[in-house]
Amino acid sequence: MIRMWWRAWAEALSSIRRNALLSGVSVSTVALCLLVLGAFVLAALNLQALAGTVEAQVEVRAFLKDGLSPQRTSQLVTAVQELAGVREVKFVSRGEALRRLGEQLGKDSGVLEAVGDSNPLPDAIEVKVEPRLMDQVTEALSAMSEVDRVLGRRELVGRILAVTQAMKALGLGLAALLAVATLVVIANTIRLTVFARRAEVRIMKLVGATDGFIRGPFVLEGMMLGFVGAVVASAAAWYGYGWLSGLVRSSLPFIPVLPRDQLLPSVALGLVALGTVLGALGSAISLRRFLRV
Amino acid sequence: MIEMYGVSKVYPGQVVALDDINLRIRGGEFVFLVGPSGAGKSTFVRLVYGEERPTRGLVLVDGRNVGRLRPREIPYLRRRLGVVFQDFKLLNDRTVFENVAFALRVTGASGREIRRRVPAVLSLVGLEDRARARPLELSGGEQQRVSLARAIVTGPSAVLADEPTGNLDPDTSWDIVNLLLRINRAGTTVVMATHAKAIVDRLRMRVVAIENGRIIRDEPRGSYS
Repeated sequence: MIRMWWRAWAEALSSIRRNALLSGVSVSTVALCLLVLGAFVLAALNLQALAGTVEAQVEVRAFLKDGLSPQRTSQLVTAVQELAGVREVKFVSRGEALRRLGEQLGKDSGVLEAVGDSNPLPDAIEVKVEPRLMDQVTEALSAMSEVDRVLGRRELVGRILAVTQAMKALGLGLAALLAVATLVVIANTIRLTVFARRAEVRIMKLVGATDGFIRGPFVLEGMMLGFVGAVVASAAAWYGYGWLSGLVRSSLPFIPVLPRDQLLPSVALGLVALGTVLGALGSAISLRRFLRV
Repeated sequence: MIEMYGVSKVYPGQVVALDDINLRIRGGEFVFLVGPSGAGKSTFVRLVYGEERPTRGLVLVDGRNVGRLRPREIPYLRRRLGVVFQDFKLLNDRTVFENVAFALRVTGASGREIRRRVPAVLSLVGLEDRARARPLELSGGEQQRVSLARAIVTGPSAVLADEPTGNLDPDTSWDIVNLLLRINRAGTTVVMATHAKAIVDRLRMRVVAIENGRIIRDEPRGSYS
């Protein structure tokens, strides 16, 4: 039994060496397919994270009527927190609002001096909401007697929501499609190596090799090719992601990029597992036809 | 050793390759299977080593019904039979030694056994010096001797040779036949399908003549026609 295992490994290795060119082609194909798949998965994960960030930033602002006591204001904040779909409530005093305005104006903040001590801004609360429940929250806020006016960019939110949801669905569908395409390409590439050796399979059958005996080295070979291809793809993804995320961070800093060290190991592990399994599967499937002698 | 009772083989499209064959070949016999191309000789050989199943009738090898063997039992049948073809069926990317060792590895033989038996068989067929050569560096006769070595290295009880001299010149053909005779004298049954008239007529062994899928003649010390 152990001897059989050892033989299968030795056979698989020497067969890879004998069919060096074809093995190289298979490894490159596997690597390319998995790299495309991996790149897509990475992009999808980032888009999803981006969508999540955008959704988390959806907020409604309610301006409060003048002259509310601090007590009533804090009661209001608690009440708003209780509303369904509210993630976070923050009270922004009129002083705070003025200071922020000054910051936004930057160089031009001199105009605020004209205002002097009479701050025209009202107190407000900023409410981070679940995008889907935005309308409800807006209505509830408008109905409150302490609230003067509610500001929320409804259409913008609707559009963001549509885009992020489409992105999620599309990403999932495309990833599945790409995975299937990868399987087909890999199985066919390995079929090529099996086809190149059909004479050998036939002779093995003629001298009385069992199917398991024939299959062993082929499946191992497929696994090795798949494994090596996946490792190459993972390495390329590692360096490529590092380079690309650096590029995005320096030129488009407002787009959040998931950190490589947190994301890549699991994606690479997935790719390697997938490559190995697909390689073995591809070999076994391709062999079936030739074993019927 | 090899028995057929009422055996017919019909290929798809109503092509009748063998028609009601009855034949007994005892252990240790040497039998020529003669007849024109397409007479059914190759089908006969294929039925014996289990590449084809008979449409009707019974094929027995060592008393076992070949037509009823399960697919996973067929390898074990083939290990008791050595097969030689007209086109040698060697692996051109491996050495002579590896080609012969191939048949042993399949049976799970140990490295020591392989190193002991392969050189012995190679010297029997006179190729002990060519162990490291590759098939395409050899002449046709030498290639056929490699395939013969591969057929007998496992010590089969019978050797089936399907037109083993079909691609060889007369002198080389005699080398192969002489080797088959030697193998036969050591106790191995030999069935040789051939249309080498000169060889058959000279040796006067048992001749089974097949034509259009039927046995038309079966003589203990026969000639080609």
